[in-house]
Amino acid sequence: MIRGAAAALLALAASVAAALDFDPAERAAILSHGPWPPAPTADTSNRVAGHAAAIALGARLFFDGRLSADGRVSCASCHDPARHFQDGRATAVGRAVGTRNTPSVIDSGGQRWYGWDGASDSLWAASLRAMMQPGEMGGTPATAAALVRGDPTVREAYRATFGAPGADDERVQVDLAKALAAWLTTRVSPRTAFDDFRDAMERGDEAAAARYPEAAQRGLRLFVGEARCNTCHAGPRFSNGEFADIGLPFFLPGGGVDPGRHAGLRALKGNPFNRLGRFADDGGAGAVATRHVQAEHRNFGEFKVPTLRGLAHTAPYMHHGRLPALDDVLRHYNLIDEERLHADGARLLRPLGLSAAQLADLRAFLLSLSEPLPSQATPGAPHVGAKGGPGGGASPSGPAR
Amino acid sequence: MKVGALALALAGGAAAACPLTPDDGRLIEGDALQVAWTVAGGGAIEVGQPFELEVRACPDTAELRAVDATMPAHRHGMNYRPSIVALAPGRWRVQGLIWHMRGGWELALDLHRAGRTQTLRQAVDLQ
Repeated sequence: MIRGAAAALLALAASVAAALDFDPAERAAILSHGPWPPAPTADTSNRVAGHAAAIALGARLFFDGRLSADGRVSCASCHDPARHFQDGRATAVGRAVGTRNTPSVIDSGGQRWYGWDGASDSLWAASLRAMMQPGEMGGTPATAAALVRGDPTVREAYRATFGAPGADDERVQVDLAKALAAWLTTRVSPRTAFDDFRDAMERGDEAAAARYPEAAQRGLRLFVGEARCNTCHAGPRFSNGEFADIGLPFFLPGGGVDPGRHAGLRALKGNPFNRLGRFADDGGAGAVATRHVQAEHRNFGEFKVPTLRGLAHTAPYMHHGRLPALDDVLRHYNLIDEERLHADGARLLRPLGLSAAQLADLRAFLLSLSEPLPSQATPGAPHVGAKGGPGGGASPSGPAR
Repeated sequence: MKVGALALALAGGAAAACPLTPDDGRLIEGDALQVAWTVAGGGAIEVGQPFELEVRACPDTAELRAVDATMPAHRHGMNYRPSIVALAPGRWRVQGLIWHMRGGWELALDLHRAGRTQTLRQAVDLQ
């Protein structure tokens, strides 16, 4: 009995000793990356956000290829739930081969900008953009209206959400995009080992904090310290929601360039489906960012700062998908070519110059931001849960493509 | 005109008191001019999150004409151009601010009074 208690105390002491002694500034920086999941934020431009009927309709539509021009490409064709809602390809393949990597759509609710160039200012507008882009789904208002009017099940689900479909096909298509957005907003990534550590630190539970691997803790210290990754990868989402030039080439294979945010802003301002347009259900009241955003020369070659949550499952990396593995990403930042940084003198990036051991620690931390995929997890454990509980909300299963 | 005056009265209340004190917000002293600013709603500025400012000037005959913010160490500013809403003489609400990086920011307020514009600046450390 006594020997057992002593062993337990020794084990406790050992585990406590395994928690690094973070200073107050480090602690504040670490705590700023939570809690997770964040409180939901309402999209006031989408009148059916949070509505059960809309969520159910969106879940069905996500897997329905009939929204596309040829009936063969659905949202799930690129945003595969089995792959953390992306496709594992360097660049997306819809009706044509695209030029950008498919971002995951988990945790997509409540963001300010959507797409690598931020050409959309709402999740429903981003959904609509994918539905309509010729190289993605290539759908039209007529395509969407035909689905609603031609399939009794979809028509009933539409009626339950929006009322009887009117004669305006464009309005019907926008409504379907809003239903998709309502469902996507319920797709929230589960908590991770980092979240458990962060919360343990907040409540002063050193024993629980010490269960977080030391390598990950050392990597976290680098992340918020010497490497300054949190300058852009900020907050619970590990993204400040804005755009950055990180010295990647923006020339496209076969010629041309990808101007990134520079073109995205032009597309945003000219988009009739932005939050200042007639389809925004709040009359533009929630369009603060859209109303105030301004274009700068430095936007050329900037791309959205991606979340780091789930990154273990989202290779290949970067907007062009040309970095196959996480180690390639770390190498990019460790040896970054400052000559490529063409922004107006913004001195944000410099070669990290980390040792191999430090890179391994940073890698360990970054991997702790991902939950195991279902095939890697304990049977029955949740993967992608809905707000309010794992697996809650609408089922992701829907009609076959 | 009457509607506008009513809106001002409802939205802003009284004109700014003079002189301003730390109770009015963070003070910036100019040449025969003071401003005080607070984050609207009483919250703190958070990295990457939109926020609004409430600004008071003393004397209240000054006019707030522009607001900007930069990160001098990074040599860049905001990605947004704020707008200014007058609440009462010498009082404004500034909308459309987003500070997208932690670190040292410099808030700059352009105020016009008696035929002259002054830019009042203040360093703000965002962590």
